[in-house]
Amino acid sequence: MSHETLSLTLFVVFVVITLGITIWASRQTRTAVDFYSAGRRIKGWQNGVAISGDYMSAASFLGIAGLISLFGYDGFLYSVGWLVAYLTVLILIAELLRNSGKYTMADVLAYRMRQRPVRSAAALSTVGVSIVYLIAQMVGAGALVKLLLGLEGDTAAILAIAGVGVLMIVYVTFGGMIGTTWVQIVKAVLLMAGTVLLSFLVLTKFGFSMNKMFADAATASGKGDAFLAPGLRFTSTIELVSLGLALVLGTAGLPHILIRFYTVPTAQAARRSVIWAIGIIGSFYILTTFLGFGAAALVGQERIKEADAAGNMAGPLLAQSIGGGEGSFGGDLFLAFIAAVAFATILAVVAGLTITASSSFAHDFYANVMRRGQERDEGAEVRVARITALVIGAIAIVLASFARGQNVAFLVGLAFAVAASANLPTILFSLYWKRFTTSGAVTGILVGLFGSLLLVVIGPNVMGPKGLIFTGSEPLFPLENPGIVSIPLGFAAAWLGTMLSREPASEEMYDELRVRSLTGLGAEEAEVAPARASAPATRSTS
Amino acid sequence: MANDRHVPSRSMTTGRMSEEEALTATEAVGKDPEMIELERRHSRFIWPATAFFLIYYMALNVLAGTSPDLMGRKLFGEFTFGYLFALSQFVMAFVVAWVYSRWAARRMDPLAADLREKLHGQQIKEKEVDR
Repeated sequence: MSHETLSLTLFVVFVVITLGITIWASRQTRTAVDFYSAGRRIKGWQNGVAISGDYMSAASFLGIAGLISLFGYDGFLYSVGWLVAYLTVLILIAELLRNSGKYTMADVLAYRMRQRPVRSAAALSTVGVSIVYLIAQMVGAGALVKLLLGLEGDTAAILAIAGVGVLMIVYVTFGGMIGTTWVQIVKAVLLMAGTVLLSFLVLTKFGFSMNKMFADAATASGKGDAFLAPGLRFTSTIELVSLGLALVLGTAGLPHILIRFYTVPTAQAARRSVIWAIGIIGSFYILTTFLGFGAAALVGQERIKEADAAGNMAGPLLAQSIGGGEGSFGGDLFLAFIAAVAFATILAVVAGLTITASSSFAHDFYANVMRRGQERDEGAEVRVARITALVIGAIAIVLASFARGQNVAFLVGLAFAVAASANLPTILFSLYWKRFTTSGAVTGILVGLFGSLLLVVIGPNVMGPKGLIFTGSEPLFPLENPGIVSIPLGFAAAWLGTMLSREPASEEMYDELRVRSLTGLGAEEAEVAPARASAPATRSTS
Repeated sequence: MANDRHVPSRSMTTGRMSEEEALTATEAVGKDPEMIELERRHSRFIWPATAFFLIYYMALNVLAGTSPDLMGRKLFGEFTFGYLFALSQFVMAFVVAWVYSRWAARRMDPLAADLREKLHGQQIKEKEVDR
């Protein structure tokens, strides 16, 4: 059997399992709380696994392995930043958000503000951040299929992107948050199993000596000891600090991570879920050492770049090499397995992103802005969310077809910069600053969102010799990642918008939010489980 | 869980507190000694903890930019200072997460539960008086 057939078989198995989950989940989904927040019945540890599945994306599995294999040490800095970011979530955000909100990030931002302007802005940035993130995932899917089917043309990549798009629409419209959660849990288990196995096999190739692995990787890279030190990808301290800030502050502004905290019954369960996520995600990122340096030593940069110039195929190629190399049965089998894991990874993440963007549009924009919060029938809101999922899926398919050829870790890094600039300042001020007002919230979100996007567009990745437009001239903004400018800009805009507005802050509403967020008084409660609710494994047949 | 608890009427879409809950909540801030203590404990922990992990993390990025030689220095075999410092970030994150959850369970949860019961009780009493 060729590796194409093998991959396809494994992939189909995963799709069948997840569609089974989706059917089961659609039967459990009766109310709006079920659709948006899985009825708040997910256990803390389950949510921790689901957060891991939501978070460890194509950027982590394909992108970081690729960056380490091409640039050595510098690639590992992504791994560190993406983990430490969870401390921001744990200490400053998770529990307070769980107590204060209902379905979306905007619930917290708009709590003590005028609903329509704040929810409009928040819905815009939620959809914006989610779509940038979606594009990165689908670019990964496209590259993967090209490698697997050995096709040169772009048709295969576009077909793969479209396939992923259709599946995610099905997961979300039918399975809602319950389906999305269990798809993410299954994926997280698969991804961890695949990564642990791959790392273990890498170690066997070096006689369980990390020293030998590092030494061989350094030699094979042609860079020698420089491969084990910073400087091959990032040479400027400002660039490093900028990226670091975006990574460590971005997670706490990612709507698709934040809304996962509404799926658990209490703030304590939200805390437990972050602790679980830190354990799982931390272990995974430590293991990226073996994926990246292993690929550099065993596959070699030439072969990695040949498959995908940005390095995204380093992990799957490593699997092939460990299994016995190209053409061998072991090599084909293991490549197929790791490729299927990568697909599962992408699918679970895009499902999480899609439900986030469509919930925000339906709950924030449709129900609270267009219908002015008068909607008594949450069923209509959920119908709008389902239709939005379809539209967002279609938009992402089109945009991703244009963004092919970028490193996915890099693309996701940009989404983090946008999230940290547009969402984090407003979330923090909403929760912790009494004086904060509607104008401050709206200015903060809009300036952070458009500021960071603009800096990317006039930066070296889009503009200038290395970019896409005006390749003849120098970029107007020197940094690849805009974080160091755009994050303070977001904070400054939120602050200035508050100080310049004449409207007084609602101190009563702030006091109310303080008590609610810290004690849980008045917080949304878990729904009583429907009679047949149980784990998907014990699906009732009636 | 507590299904017998009073279920507040709230806005269908925004999920804000019920009026009674909101009233007791706003009255507690700045007056109720337990609420004052809760806020004090919370901010005394979270801001120093945040400052600590941000500084520790940014030190890695700054050193990677300013001192590649130091970061590339081999301490054990092929293990560079830079790689070990990066690994220590994971250990730091695990430890801070553990310390936070212990602190929250011991110092925050009981007080928060107390306060929730107390404010909630007041609110029910007010309702009875209304009748």
